[in-house]
Amino acid sequence: MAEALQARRVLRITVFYVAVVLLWEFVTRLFQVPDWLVPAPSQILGVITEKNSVMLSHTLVTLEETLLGFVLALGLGVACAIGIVHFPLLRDTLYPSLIMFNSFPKVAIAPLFVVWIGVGIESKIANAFLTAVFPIVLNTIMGLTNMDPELLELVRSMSKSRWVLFWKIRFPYSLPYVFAGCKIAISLAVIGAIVGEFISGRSGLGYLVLSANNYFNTPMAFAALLYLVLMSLALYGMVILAEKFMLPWYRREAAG
Amino acid sequence: MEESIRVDRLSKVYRSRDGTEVEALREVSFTVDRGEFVSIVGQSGCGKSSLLKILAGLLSKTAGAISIEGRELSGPRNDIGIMFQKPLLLEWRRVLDNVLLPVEIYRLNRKEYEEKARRLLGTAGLADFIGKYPFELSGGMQQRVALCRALVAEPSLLLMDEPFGALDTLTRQKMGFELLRLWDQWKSTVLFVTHDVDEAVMLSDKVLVMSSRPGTVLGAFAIDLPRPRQIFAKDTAEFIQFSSRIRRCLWEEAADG
Repeated sequence: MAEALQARRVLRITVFYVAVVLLWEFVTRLFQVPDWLVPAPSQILGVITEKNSVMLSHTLVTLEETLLGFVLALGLGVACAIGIVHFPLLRDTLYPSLIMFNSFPKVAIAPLFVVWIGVGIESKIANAFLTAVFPIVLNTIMGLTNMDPELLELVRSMSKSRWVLFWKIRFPYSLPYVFAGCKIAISLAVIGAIVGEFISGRSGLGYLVLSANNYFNTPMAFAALLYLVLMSLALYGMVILAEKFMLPWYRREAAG
Repeated sequence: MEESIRVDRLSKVYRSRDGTEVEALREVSFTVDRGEFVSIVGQSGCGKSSLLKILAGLLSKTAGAISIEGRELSGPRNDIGIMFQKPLLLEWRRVLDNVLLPVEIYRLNRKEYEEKARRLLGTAGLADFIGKYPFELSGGMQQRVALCRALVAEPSLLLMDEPFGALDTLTRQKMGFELLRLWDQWKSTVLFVTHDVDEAVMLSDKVLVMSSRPGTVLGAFAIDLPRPRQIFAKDTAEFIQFSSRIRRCLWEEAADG
C-alpha cells in the first residue's frame, strides 16, 4: 500500500518535470526565442555532451572549495559553540560579535579576502567558510543549551563533573542540532564559493557562468547552472545520508 | 532496625532575586529504616519535590541535618538512585546502555554490571527490548527502563518523585507491583513521593503526610498490611481504613488552610 503510494508519487514528479522540459522546448521553438536569451533544453544538452569533461573539471574546482569551506565551518563552528557555552568570557565577547557578523551580508566581505589572501582557491574557501559557519554555530549552541533541565538534574545527582555532563549528555544531545545546521550550511557554502569565483575566479562553475555570460554564451551558462544544481543537491543528500547513518536513534516524528 | 535516612528539623527557604522569601519546608523531621518503603503524600506545592531534591544532593538546605546511611549528606553520591515522573532516557543510547549510565558515571566495572542490568531488564519484562532505542518503546516501558537504571548500581536508597504519575491508571498499578517485586529482590530503602493516597498505601510500610507551604510532616502512618501485596488488598477493610485515615489527615489540613 505504502509502496504503491510511493510509486505513484515518483511517477507524478517525473511526469511533471518531463512535461516542463517538453513545454520549454516547444515554446522556444514555436516563438523562435534566440539562444542568447533563453536556450532550448536540446541546446543545453548539446553543450553538456560536447563539453562534459570541461564542465566536470570546473565542477570539481567548485566542489573542492565548497567542501573545504564547509569542513572548516563545521570544525570551527562546533568548537566556537562549545567554547561559548562553557566559558562566560567567550559568551560575552565572541558570541555578540558572531551575532553582529551574522546580521550583515557576508558576501560584501568577499572582495577583501582577495586583498588579504589572494586570488587563489584560499579566498574562495574563506568565503564558503564565512557564509556557512553561522548556522552551524547558532544551531550547535541551541543544541548544547536547549535541553530538559530535569535530565541535567538526573545526571547531576550522579556526578558534579562538567566533563561527564558534556561527553555523556550535552554533546550527543546536540548532534541533531549540529546536523540541522549542516543542512543549511552546505547550501550556503556553495553560494560562498560561487561568489568568490565571481569576484576573482579563473576556474569553477561560478567563473564559468560569468564568462559564458560575458560572451552571450547563454546555453553554456545554463549548462553550468545545471551542474551547480546537481552538485548542490548531491552535497545536501550526503548530509542527509550522514545523519541517517550517524543518528539512527533520531526520529523527528518521535521527538517531543 | 538500622536507620537509612535521618532528617532532623530540615528547613528550606527559597529567596528570589527581588528579596521575597518562600518557605518550602519547615522543621521537617523523620527517619526511615533500612530496607523500608516509605511514601510521602501531600498536595502539589507542599515541598515534597524540594525534599527529594535536597536528599539527592541537587538542592542546598537552609537549616537542619540530614544523614543517609550514617553519613552526613553533602552533594551527589553514588549510593542513591533517583527516578522522576519523566523517564529521561538518553535517546541516542539503546536500552541496555541507558541502564548502564550510572555504572559508567561511577566508573564501575561494566562487565560485572552488564550481567546485573540484563537480569534487571529481564525481571522488568524487557528482555526482548535490550537492543532497542527509547523511541521504539511505550511510555510504561520507558519508565521501567528508568527504574532499572535507578537500581543498577545497587543504591542503598531509591528516591522516586511521582514516578508513575504520567501513566494511565492500569499501567500505573502494574508498575507499582513490578516495583515491589524488584524491591523485594534488591532490598534498598525507598522514598516514594506521590499525591495518590491509594498508591501510597498499596506500596508502603509507612506513609508520611505533608502539609502545604510551608511543608511540615502532619502525620506518619504505619501500614501493616501483609506482603506480598496484591491488587485485591484494595478491597479489604484494613486498606480502606488506612487510606481514609490518611485522606482525612490531608483534608483537615486543606480545610484549615
